[in-house]
Amino acid sequence: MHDKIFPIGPQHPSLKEPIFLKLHVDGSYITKAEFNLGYAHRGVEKCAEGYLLDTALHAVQRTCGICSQCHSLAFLNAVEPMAGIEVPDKVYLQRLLSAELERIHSHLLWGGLMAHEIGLETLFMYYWREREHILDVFDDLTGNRVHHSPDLIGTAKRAFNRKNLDFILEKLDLIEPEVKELKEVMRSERVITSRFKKHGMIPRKMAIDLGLVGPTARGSGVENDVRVHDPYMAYAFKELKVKPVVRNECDSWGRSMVRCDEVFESIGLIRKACEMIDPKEDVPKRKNVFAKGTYGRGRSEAPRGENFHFVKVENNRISRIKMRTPTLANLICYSRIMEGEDITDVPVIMMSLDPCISCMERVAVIRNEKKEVWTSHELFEGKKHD
Amino acid sequence: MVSMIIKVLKNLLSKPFTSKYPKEKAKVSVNFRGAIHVDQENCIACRLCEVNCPTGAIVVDTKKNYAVVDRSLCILCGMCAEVCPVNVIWFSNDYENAEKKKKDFRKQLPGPNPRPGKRS
Repeated sequence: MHDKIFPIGPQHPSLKEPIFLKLHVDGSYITKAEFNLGYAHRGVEKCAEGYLLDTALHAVQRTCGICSQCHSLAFLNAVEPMAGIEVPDKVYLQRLLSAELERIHSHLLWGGLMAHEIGLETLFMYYWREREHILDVFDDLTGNRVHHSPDLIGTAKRAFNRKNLDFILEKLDLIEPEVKELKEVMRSERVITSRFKKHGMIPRKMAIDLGLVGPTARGSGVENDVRVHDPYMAYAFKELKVKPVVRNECDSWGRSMVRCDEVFESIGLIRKACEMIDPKEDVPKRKNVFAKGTYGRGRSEAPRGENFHFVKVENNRISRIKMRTPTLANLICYSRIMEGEDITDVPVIMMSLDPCISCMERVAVIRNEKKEVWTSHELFEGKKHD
Repeated sequence: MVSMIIKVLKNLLSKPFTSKYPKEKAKVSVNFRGAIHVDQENCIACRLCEVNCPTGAIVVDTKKNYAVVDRSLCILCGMCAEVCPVNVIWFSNDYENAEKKKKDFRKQLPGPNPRPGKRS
């Protein structure tokens, strides 16, 4: 037995984000995998402390570039009941449109990156070309392509009119057949299926035990979707029931197919919501918000899984905010999933989990041999008291 | 296989999807939030924008009584335009906001709001 350590990252051509994988290998097979984090701490939570509620909303959205709307929905789920605001249906439907468009854009982005990892650069271009249409829709609807921030507490920045809704439907008609064809390519291409099938196995029991969320859990046969088991905002409407896409393959292939099928589920939801929106109705004007409660918590289903926010308010300003992004919930399976795999499969398996490391990083505590615990006061001061 | 050949032929004959950016201007929508402008003549220095800015990019100059923006800090969230009671803060469609020197970001882009009734 020659046990050697093979390092990948934190800067590596096959990784999109900073994570350090320490792989113990025997030949080219992985016997044990460890990972290190803490290379991209941004401190959005600390930054939002002391902000007014409306201002904190715009700070919180900047946590993630891909799923910024879902962070805003989780924050609004926490804050709106606390402030006792009634939100009109049109605003709820507008939020649903943004969130579902974002899900399509995130899954298409994932498809492109997946093709890039395998080495199919042409497929990568095709996926990202379709994604560009969704970004055009965001530009038209909200004014920004990536960090769109269309929300305010209790209302929205602008009301969608007939022209906007027609533009969405036009673009959806354009991308639907193309995405169908891309899925067919994925299904039939032998290069892709041989890298995906029977690799990166997560059995159903393991997915339940580790508490995995999102497409990672749904690919292992666990029906875990916040939109279904705790419907919020427009997802609670009778007409907009979500059918979760669940596959029983339990491998990278299952997870990939879940993402491919979810695009069509989202397209269906958007079409229904476009019919329900009254284009002539205006959204209410912005009011100053006063929080009556002190604590709030909210959840939302981001493209990668469940997103959780805990908000504490003092004197109408944020005193503490805690976010749990889906990658943090899914991170626990990384070391188990790699065991027994070939070293060449590592980038594809990593990509099949769709990690979003930089959003997940909250605090970096470097441990030597002893365990260290930092209090929030010490973190604020940046040094450890003895 | 047949569908692939048809697609290849289609892509050979059609125009490229990408645009030749520096020569050709990129298309943006009417609502696009580009560079931030402040109409400093009509600013009433109420400081609502300063209080609501997440990054502290907009500060009211108390001696001259108008808002001043540092565009390198601005994250284009549109909150200042949302709270402004006299609609003097607005976003143009100009997306080329890079500067060579850091102090150039403090150069103000004045001008009256072309859409005074509308929000952001």
